[in-house]
Amino acid sequence: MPMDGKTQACGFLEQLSTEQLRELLRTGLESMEDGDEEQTFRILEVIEKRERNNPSGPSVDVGQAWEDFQKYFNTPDGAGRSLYPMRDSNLTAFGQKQDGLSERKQRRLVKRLLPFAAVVAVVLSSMVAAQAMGMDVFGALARWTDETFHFVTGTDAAAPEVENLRQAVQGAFDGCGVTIPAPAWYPPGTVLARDIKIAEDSENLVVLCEFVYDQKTFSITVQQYYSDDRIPGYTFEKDALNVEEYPSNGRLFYIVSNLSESYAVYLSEQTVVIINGKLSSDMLKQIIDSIGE
Amino acid sequence: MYKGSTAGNVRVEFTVLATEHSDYVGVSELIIYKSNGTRAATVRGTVGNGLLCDDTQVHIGHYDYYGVPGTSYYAILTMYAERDGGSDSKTYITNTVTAPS
Repeated sequence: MPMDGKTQACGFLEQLSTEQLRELLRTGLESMEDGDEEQTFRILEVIEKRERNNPSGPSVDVGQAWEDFQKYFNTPDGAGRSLYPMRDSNLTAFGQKQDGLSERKQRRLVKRLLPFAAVVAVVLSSMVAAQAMGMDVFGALARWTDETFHFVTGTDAAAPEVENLRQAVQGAFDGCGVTIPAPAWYPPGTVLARDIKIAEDSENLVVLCEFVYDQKTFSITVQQYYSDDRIPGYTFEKDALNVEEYPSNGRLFYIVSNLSESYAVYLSEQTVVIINGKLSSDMLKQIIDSIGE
Repeated sequence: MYKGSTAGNVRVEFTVLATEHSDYVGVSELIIYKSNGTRAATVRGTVGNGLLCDDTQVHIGHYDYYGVPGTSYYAILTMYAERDGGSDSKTYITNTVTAPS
């Protein structure tokens, strides 16, 4: 008589010792491969049958066991729960149907995804560390992303030379206690014309940054007062064109033109910012917009 | 122009920015008037009195005048920049301030 697969498997298992069956059970649980559940139950059945026929463990106090069962398992919150592993993988421990992946398949999915998640975590933490060290990693990513669609030429806000300018100005601001951030955009080809100048008095200080691009000059001047009871008066020569109010990042700049020169002025309780020189209105606004909040 | 810290004291504060790095930048002349237009004091700017600064592009400074307590004053400043023998100047009129009593 031909034997089916299940009978053949049981016959093989019965040839193994109980210790070998237990070892097989341990390795089967650790590998967690598909199709192992049936084998697990067959191994348990063989062991159980052997124990029933030839008990090897210590004798059991049936009365105590029954008392323990009533006390710890036969409780209202355990109603409907099985004491043994489910043969039907779609049933939860509470005997309810479970949608989607079984608990075991979810554990296998998590184990497979763990190495990938670890790699992503390491990459992200490295990017954050690099950004903290001054490398504009995320700006570089943005550039890389743009390059996959088209080639970009020219200077943008994340270019190294522009970032160097921003850092130079920010460094001067930080050293003087200037509270406004340095601009992050400058006309293409801009370089510092000379060292950043600082003039100081008992009531205020001035930071003067002079730049040159394409043989034209402009400057960024910040006057920082130490107290808010000094309201400065400034006078600028202007031409007949109107004064333009330009709000940006919570600050109101006034843009004034004087023939070939332009001025953008911002005034707060303790800070005056003046951007002036041979700059177009669009360039002035780009510089203004690049000043952070 | 601000009230000073003692009786009769008024302070003139200024910031002068030249368009280029210059041999001298600052205030070449400071005239203080009473509110009725009477000239109270005339000060010529020098590096020594702090109204001018040499070899710079920006200069911040102040001048303390000690007048009559309770009297109102204003000032006319001549902003000045000199470079390679040439110079430029602009005048500026301050607000009026009453000296502390």
